[in-house]
Amino acid sequence: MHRMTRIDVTRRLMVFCAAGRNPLNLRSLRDPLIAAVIVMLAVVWGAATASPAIAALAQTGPPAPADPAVSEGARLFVAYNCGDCHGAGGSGAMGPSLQDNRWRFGGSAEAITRSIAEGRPEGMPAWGRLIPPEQMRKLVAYTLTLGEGKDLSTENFTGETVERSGR
Amino acid sequence: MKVPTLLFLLLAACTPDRGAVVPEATIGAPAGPATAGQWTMPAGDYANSRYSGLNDITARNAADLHAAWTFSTGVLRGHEGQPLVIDNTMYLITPYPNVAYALDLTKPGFPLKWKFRPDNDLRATGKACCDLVNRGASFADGKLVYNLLDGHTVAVDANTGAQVWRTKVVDVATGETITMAPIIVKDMVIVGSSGGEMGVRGFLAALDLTTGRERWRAYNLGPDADVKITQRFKPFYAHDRGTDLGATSWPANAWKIGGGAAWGWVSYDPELNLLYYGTSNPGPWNQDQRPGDNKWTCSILARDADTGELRWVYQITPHDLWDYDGVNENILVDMPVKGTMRKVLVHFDRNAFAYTIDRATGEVLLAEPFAPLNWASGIDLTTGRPNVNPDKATKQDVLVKDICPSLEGGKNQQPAAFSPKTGLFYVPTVNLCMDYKGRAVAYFAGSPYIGADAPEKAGPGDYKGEFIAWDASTGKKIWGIKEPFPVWSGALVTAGNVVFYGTLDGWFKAANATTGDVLWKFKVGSGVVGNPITYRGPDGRQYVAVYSGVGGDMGALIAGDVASNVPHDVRERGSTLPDLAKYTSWGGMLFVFSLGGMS
Repeated sequence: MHRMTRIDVTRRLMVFCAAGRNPLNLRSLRDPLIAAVIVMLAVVWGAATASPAIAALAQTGPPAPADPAVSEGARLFVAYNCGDCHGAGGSGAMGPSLQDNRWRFGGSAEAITRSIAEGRPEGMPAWGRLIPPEQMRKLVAYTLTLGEGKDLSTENFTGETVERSGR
Repeated sequence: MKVPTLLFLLLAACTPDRGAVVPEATIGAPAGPATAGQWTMPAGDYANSRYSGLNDITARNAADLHAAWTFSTGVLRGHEGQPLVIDNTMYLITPYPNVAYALDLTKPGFPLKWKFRPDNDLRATGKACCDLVNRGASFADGKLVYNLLDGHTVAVDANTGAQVWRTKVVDVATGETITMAPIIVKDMVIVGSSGGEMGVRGFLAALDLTTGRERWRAYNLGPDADVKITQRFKPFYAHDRGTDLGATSWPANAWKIGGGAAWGWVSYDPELNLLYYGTSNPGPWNQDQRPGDNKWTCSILARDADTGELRWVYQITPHDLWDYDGVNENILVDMPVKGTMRKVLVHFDRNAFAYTIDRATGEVLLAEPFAPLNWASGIDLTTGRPNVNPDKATKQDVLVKDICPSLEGGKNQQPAAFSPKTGLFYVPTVNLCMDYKGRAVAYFAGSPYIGADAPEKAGPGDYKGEFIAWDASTGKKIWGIKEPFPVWSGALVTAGNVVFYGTLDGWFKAANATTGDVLWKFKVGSGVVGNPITYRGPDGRQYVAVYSGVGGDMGALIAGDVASNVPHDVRERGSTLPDLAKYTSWGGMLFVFSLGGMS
């Protein structure tokens, strides 16, 4: 039995919020401030503990689409508000597109994990202390599938369009 | 050409413009004579009329307009807002990083007197919901004052470009940014923030013009003390009276992250000493997480300019279910309504109703649809509340289809204009609808707090936008110019009886203010989301200036593929405006026009 560390507690809290069949259902958490406080507590609590090595969190190579981690990653992509910034399915909104197979900070599983965990200067928050490693792996697995089969280099106004949500 | 047609055209050319539709209507707080031929405030005057007394360019000669000169701002993204012209100097503010330019209009080629490149936190670029826009500066006491996307207000010496003061108004780390144009009232700078999609708590604040220190801050949500509700608060409708309604009309503490941001335009009536502004949507969009009226989101507020005290409030869309922010401009006009002269404000809301409201009391005198809508059957003038169509009420986990207007509204922030010559309002409008599905969402500070998916699509009819003339004394449309895309530029109307506006696909147009006949158009470098202004140059001639530079929510987020300068962010076309990128790409240029072009 190992003693529960602060980061473990942090993650338990976040798992409580973000995992399970009914993620982040604020009907059971009626007060949004309570949710906010939980998140802030989690941040503060986890602050003193170093994040695990990025490389250890990252998988090697893109997973197969049938991988259950991918569908779970899709759920987490919504639950952690990723889609509200990066657009539904990563089509691009406030934040950049994740479907274009172009990566400013690198497109390897390790680089994407680092972007999510540590944040990026243009406003991408650091999620490393909020998202437990097993969820992080699933999110990255899903992210790596978003550009599959897409070639956005040419626009000749004959192809498909994507549904976008406004703000 | 047949003879009768020729005769008709001759007659039409010789006949003076028809008389005013609402002859008694006048601007409620007109600009003083000292500012004639200049553009000294974001909307031209405190009334937000966007009317100019210049009349060299008329409905008869507007066809002879030509490009006189241009200036590249060196910045892409949505160029909302407008330049200022004071003492033969033109001042421009760019989108992030919010560079300010001062152009000397007296010298050939209009060289810069200075440029000011503020320190501006890069994180802001990932916190602003709807592109990295800025809606312009104000000018007073030799200072140019404007807001930075990262939550600061700066004052710059208008002669030298040196920073005089810099005040942190909000913390960008929490998702709060600033895009609105401040106005200067007496010795105060009036500012509000953006972030209705980020779980902010909206407010209006007054900064000291000399030092930048905060004089007062009045929150739009929360207990009465924070909202600055005192015994002087006299709302017109009974349901707006009570204690701490800004807190009790929410689930416990939800108001602390409930949105209600003041990111739009501010008007001022010097006689009543009242500031008027609107508040954004409540957060999150998912209504199941915030039962109650959610006061004072989606509201028009009237505050004492000196103390910030709330004098009256009108909640336009109680318990908003559609992201119908109430931030659009309030235009102050004195006009007859139902046979009685009234001091009114006229407000074209996102919810597609046009409101004519007594600006002393907050009584709604008229509320009529100005764009296609189906979310409500009308506004009950005895209670002030909308009669909501239950079929279009949104809920968590339920897909509600074909709600009109879409969340962009029948009109968004792009400001309308008012002409005392015709008594009419000139309104850029949007004709889109949406499907909407709420979903549970958690609050993570600094990330979106939205909780809904709402794809948009074309509204009824074969057009997605219309530029209309509106009679606010009767609540009726007088004429309209249909456009293939939402009209996302502001309007300008002049004593020459010409009204100007631009389109998302890059046309800048002049129309007869009485008839709506398009007199002239010019294809500028990029789609127009800015607001035209007019001024008299040092050579004595009248000029019209407008930014081109597509962007903003509609031009950047919704269109998808209009950017070409970001190699790591290539997007597919959006289904809402699938062909916009066929006609325009990002740009950032000022275009200036005059009769005959440059002399």
